This record gives sequence, structure tokens and C-alpha cells, in this order.
Amino acid sequence: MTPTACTINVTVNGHPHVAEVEPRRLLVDFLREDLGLAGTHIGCEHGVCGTCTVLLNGASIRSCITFAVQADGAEISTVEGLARGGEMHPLQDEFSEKQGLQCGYCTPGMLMRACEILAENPDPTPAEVRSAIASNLCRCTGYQFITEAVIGAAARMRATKEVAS
Amino acid sequence: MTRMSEVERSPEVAVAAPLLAEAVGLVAHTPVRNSGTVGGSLAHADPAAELPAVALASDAELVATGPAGTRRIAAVEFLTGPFSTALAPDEILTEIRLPMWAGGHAFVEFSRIHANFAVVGVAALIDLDGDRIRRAALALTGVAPTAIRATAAENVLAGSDVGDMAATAAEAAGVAVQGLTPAGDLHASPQTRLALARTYLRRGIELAMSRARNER
Repeated sequence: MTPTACTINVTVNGHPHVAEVEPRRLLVDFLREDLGLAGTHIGCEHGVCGTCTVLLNGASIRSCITFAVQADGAEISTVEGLARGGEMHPLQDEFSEKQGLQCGYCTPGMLMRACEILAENPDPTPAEVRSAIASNLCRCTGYQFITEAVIGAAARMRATKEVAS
Repeated sequence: MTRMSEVERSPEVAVAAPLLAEAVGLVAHTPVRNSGTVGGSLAHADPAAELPAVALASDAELVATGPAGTRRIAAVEFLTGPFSTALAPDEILTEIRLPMWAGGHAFVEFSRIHANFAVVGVAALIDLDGDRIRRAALALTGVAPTAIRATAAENVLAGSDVGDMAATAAEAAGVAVQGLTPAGDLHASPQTRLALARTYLRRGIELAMSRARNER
């Protein structure tokens, strides 16, 4: 039986898209394969590791266990939407500066989760950041540098009054 | 279709159903709670999950809707086994009705890793009448094929004096684990689960008692 295609309207990083997707199409596959936004990574494929984390209407979700049709009418933010006109987002800058990544596999998910953390609390303590990023696995850095990067970005964003997401 | 994160942030839920609010905060991480729903957790009926224990301790009524209409199912009837519920194949869970509880509450659990499924969890509700316990409700996760009520321990608590909270809580915790035969797995042996259940029951009861006192 051929699944019936569904029409969805989604805004991804500010750009509206109308697309035909199978009901079973995962959001992460829609983003990576249909829209070509391969910055969002696929890791465990069952909602545990967090590298596929994107923001759906500002809330972090696992795009590997979300269907594309569930995003109908929603605004999605992915890692590709962070930089503005060739200028790195403070979070990206600080991840680079503080070596908050090594292999980079977890980084897109970490960055998007960090956006949500700072949108909720622009001035978190290191302990709050560590607790909040526990939703995302990193097997390289041991989380210390990621925490420092998020704290550093928070300070810069407060100084420039930049909104996280 | 209420997301767990909505419940977690709701000032109304914090006042009307503080046990639910506390338990929801222990379910996995924010990105999971942003997607996962309260009804979904109940209908999934994982024996280690927090929310079935909340429903049990609260005497919740679960409303099922199907082609034949809607019916209300008591939480104790709803949970029929591991990952099994009284929902018929053509029914879905559409409403969760939690009676208000006047006294103190606590949800405590042991988890090896922050935000993992709990090895053992305890939901405790305690209502005081002066220095005596008027009513107690206790439910446990992780020690049986479903979340279970600890009725014998509730009976120990009911009518007892809270002058010596620690002794009262310890006695009830001892009674609650009698006759339990939890399965062992790679997370914990049966003996460890029983020891954890006893410890977390004691902590949960004491916390609910002290909150009941402070709320007067």
C-alpha cells in the first residue's frame, strides 16, 4: 500500500516551505533530505542522544522521533539558522573559542538546546547549564568546555541584548 | 494531548495537583518533555514510569473514548500489566481526572543517571488532622509489573501521630515492602530494589508529612 502524501506548511529558519511528505517521513529526514539542511545530525535514531535536536516553535524536540506532519504550521529552527549573514552566532563563536566541540557530531543539537536554555534563562549558572545540557550526549569533551561556551555566549548575548532564538 | 513541559510550567497545576507537577519534572529531559504527553505516559504504562504512580496515588479517573462512546476507568483498573492497560484496541485516552488533595505531597525516586528511568519511585500524599494523619496514599514504581498502591502501609499511617515522623515513616515503609517480589535486571537486583523502595518510601512519607505540616 502506498502511503498517501500529506501537504505541510512549515517555516524553517524564517523561510516558508510547502511540501508533500509521506505521513511516516521523519522530521529529521525531511530537513536533511528534502530541504537539504544536513546540519541537523542523526545519531541514535530513538530520541536518546539529542544530536537531532531542533526547535519547534521555540521548544527543543528530537527531530528523529517526530514526524514531519507534526510540524505542519510550525516554525522550525535548525543550526543553519544561527549564523547571520556570514557572522557566527555568539554560541557558535564561543563553542569554537572555548573548544566546546571536538568531533562535532553532537554540536548542532547542543547549539539548539543551548538556544532554548538561554531563551529561558539569559544568565544561568554553570551548574544550571550542566544540568540542562544533560539531555544531549557528547562523547568527546566531557561537557566542561561546552558549559564554559554556553556561559560565555550568555554573557556576550546579555551585553548585546541578543535574543537566543 | 497536554505536553509534560506545559504541565511542568503551569501555575494552576502546581497549586491543584502538586504531586503531578513534581513527578513530571522527573521525567527525562526538557526536549523529551516538550514532546511527551501526560496521557501518552499513562497509556504506555511503563512499570518504571512516574505518572502511573501519580494516577494511582491520586485515585485518578481515566476517560477512554472509542466508537462506543466514553467511559471512566479508575487508575487501579487501568494498569493491567507491563505496558498494558484496560484501553480497548479502538479506544484512546482523552481525559485524566485528578481529585484535589488537601495535604502534603512528595514524589521521590532513585535513578542511576540524571533523568534516566527511575529504578524505584514513590508517590506519597498525606493529609493531617491536627497531629494525626487523617489519610495517606502511597504508590510505588519499579517493584512490580505495574505501578502499585501500598494499601497496608497507608493503613499503618492513617490515624498515627506525626510527633515522631521518622519512626512513623520507617514503620510504614517496612510494611509497604512486605510481600513484594520485584524482578531483578541489569539496573538492580530484587534485593536492591526492595532496599531502595524502603528508603525512598521513608523519604517520600517524611517529605509529604512535613509539607502537610507547613501548609497548615
